[in-house]
Amino acid sequence: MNLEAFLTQTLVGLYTGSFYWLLTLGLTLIFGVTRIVNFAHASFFVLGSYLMYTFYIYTNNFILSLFAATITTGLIGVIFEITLIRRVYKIEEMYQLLLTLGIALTLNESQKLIWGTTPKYINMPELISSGVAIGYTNISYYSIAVISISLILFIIIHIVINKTLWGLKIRAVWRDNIMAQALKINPYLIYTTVFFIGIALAGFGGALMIILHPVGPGVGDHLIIYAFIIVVIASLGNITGAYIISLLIGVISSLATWLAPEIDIVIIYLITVIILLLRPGGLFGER
Amino acid sequence: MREILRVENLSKSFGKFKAVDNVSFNLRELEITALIGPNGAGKTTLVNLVTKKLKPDQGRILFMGRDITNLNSYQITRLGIVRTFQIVNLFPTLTVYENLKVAALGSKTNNKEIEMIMSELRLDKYKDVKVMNVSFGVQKLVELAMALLLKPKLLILDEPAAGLPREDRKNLMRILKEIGEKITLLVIEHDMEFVFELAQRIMVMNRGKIIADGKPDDIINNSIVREIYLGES
Amino acid sequence: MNKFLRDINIITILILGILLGLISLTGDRFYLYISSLFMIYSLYALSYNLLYGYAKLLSFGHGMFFATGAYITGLFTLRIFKDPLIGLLVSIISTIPFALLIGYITLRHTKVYFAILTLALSMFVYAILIKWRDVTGGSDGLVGIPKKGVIVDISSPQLNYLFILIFFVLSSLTLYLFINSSRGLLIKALVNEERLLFTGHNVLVIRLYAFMISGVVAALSGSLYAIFMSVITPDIAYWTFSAEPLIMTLLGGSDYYLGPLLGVAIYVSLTTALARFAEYWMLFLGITMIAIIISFRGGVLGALILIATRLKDKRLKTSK
Repeated sequence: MNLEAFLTQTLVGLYTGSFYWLLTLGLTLIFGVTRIVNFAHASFFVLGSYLMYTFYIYTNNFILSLFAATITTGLIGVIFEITLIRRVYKIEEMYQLLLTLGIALTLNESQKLIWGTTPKYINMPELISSGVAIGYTNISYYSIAVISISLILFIIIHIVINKTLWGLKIRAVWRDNIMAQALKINPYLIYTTVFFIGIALAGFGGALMIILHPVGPGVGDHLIIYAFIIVVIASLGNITGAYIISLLIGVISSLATWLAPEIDIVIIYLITVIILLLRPGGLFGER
Repeated sequence: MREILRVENLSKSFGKFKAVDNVSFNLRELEITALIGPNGAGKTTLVNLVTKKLKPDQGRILFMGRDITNLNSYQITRLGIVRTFQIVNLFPTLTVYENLKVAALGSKTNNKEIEMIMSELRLDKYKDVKVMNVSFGVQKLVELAMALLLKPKLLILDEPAAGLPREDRKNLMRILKEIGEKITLLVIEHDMEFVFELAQRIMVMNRGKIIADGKPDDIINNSIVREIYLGES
Repeated sequence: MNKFLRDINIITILILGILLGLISLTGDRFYLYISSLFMIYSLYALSYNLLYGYAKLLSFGHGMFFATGAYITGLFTLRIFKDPLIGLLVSIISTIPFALLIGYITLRHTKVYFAILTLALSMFVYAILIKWRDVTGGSDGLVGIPKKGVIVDISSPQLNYLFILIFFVLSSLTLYLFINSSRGLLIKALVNEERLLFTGHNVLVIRLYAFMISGVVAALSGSLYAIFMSVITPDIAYWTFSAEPLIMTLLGGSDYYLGPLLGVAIYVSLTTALARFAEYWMLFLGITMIAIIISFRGGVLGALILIATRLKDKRLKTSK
């Protein structure tokens, strides 16, 4: 086994894992505060990709499109939250899951109708080609940027939630809704805000992803599974856990595909099943 | 009279709050005991511990000489400890008859007995009505019927009279007295009139402990009890 | 006996059976095709509703039983003994321990974890089906599953149809009789789990029972599917396929035994008859699902029954 190849594959894994993290961060935030498991989360991620594509076609400006795609996705998420999700906060989890499944289905099909079924991608050779050389392979600056952005996001979220007043409010609602109301924190405002942030993060991730990877129907279906696997292994609601496991799953996937492509996905699902059986609450316990 | 239930050093805390604090007592066979006390005294928690809805932090429970501390709810129900709930908790989408049938299946009782209990408690006309569509008073009777169909040796009733209009209370009193002749009863209740007419023995709980235990006359005159209820000093 | 003969669900199934039987006389390939799909998916949806509507268990992995049912039948008839009936029976019987195993490991979890665990398990099955090329044919799947066997020969479309019809009528009747038996009543009682425990019943065992029967019927429908289509691919184990019986059940109405059939009928006729509009239909389905969850959970059947009852009440009022 070649050390250089191993490092490269690990980096690729970290890169993939960073995208998973952008997906699971929002999912975890939303669950932690509203207790809703958002089946539609990956659909919003993919929506971010498609919006990025469209904005870029019109503006040819990377940064602007990125910003616009992120915000627009977040706003669309808020519209769903206000019109639909609000109505199910107080009912059984089963129905909440079904509602978000319905939203996922609706979003996926709408995307097919609007953008068609052929995969879309953005061609930005300058971004991908320039990079750092490690031995014979080239690690693009872009992938390093993605990995760094995720790490920075993790640190920011950590600081915001644990050290700011606003983060305190979020934690209050996280733990105990009724108590939070007694302290005059408006939970619905927090819910909507967190939804916006969570969905916008997903959109951001999707927008970043379409730079290097084509996005088409089916991508969301695949991503949501991995997102769920990650958050349940990490324990639903644990942000640090989600970060670590996202990266880990990315790396394991990457190494498995490199070393044992005949059974790569089998390994991932098998690990998931075993962990869930041994530690049904996940590895970290909720925070 | 023989001892049917023995509780030793039972405790349960929720965080720092001691809901049940080192409680010990026995229940004697065929005696009708009432468990009273102010709200939050720990009465329902105690019952939840005995019926295994909650696990005790420490202590032992013996039923007819057998240690049941580590059994779970459905097992102790099969052994003969049956309880009712404060808030009506039946199978809403099933009919009255079906609710009773589920209970009968639990104790392997045949259909004839279901018919008998239905006529005794005058539930016949509600036989095919869904439980969620009958009145509160009828629901309470259905719950009682189910409890009886489970062939209990010890029947624990959590506020059976709560929310019942006068008429139904009198009816309930009559039924409970009849039942009490063949089955040991433990009744949690707030209605003092009800308690004093029904109970042969009263246990008083406050702040997780049993502070008084004896015959109704003794309890009325007990100064600690009066202090709690009437604020006398 | 009399009570059963007058039961509306039984009458409906029998009439449906007769109508479907009449269709086979026409020999029209399109109608035979669409009706076969209807029957196969109906059994699948009925099995799903046993878990969802009656046992109140939300599973996202039901496709694993449909898929293993299909693949076991396919593999058995292709590699071991060439007869569709035997293949089907082997498939059903081997699903019993499989369903019990899966049930045993998943049912002890709370609702959300149960849903996700079933999802992960069915994806695990999918992964095996798609990667184990040598045995399962990988992404190409199994091809040429025989209809002509040693014991039965259902190569002709009409005989194949009759084969499906017989299983459809017998299974839907049997399942119905089961849900109305004592064991079935206990499953219905899962609506209030706590009360069931305090009525002296082992809830886990009751759930396991429901799970097993549900899995077996799903495997049966998968087997019929494999024989009917003669080609099966791993995507029947992908989670989106597991979501289909769920959607059809919700659409038709999960509160009534035959509700899912209505959902399947709508789904199948619209997606095949109006295949041109298939994309719009999926979107419509998604929106309908949202609408059903938000406002009226009774589904189409529930709505129809509600309207019928209101009309009946109105008529009673006006006749006075």
